[in-house]
Amino acid sequence: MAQKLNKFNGTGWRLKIGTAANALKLITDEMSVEYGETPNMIDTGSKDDGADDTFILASVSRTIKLSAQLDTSTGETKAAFGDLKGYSGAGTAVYFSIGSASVGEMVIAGQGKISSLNVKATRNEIATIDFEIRVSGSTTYLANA
Amino acid sequence: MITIECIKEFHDIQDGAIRSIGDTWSASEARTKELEDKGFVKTTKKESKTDK
Repeated sequence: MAQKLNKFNGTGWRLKIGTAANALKLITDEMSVEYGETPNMIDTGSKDDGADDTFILASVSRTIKLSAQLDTSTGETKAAFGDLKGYSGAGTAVYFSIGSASVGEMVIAGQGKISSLNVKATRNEIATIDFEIRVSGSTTYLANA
Repeated sequence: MITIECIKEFHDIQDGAIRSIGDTWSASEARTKELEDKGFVKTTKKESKTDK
């Protein structure tokens, strides 16, 4: 993948998912993917603190959002809508990696469950899907080898 | 093929697997050397002629 000064073309960062950490597959016709972390903060400030905010860390919420073109094929080497619908309906634990596929570069890895799955079909536009994974537990930032 | 064990978590780009510490699998001699040199795995068993 083209890399310059540690910057990346987002096209090279892909999501892979699967029901086991050693069987991850790309999503068919991925268009974009996002990973987000939200440390939830408990406000411990009071009038005694005057104008200064103070916080302690509570839990950390992590999510992945992906959009792709709708592909109704099944049994392919990539995960498509049928796979995702199965995982969503059954509450299946989904393992994932998101990142580059080049040696020496990095991926974010973990597991979670699909918390939303949507299909959008608009006149004169490509039909799309989008889904969100809520991460269960932590994530790790790993090197490719 | 050689049986190797993960000693440092990494993303195996040959098959997309996330290798966690303690995972074991089989790899070629060349692949084993490559991963050992990088400190990701150790060899647990080399296949002998009697294993075949």
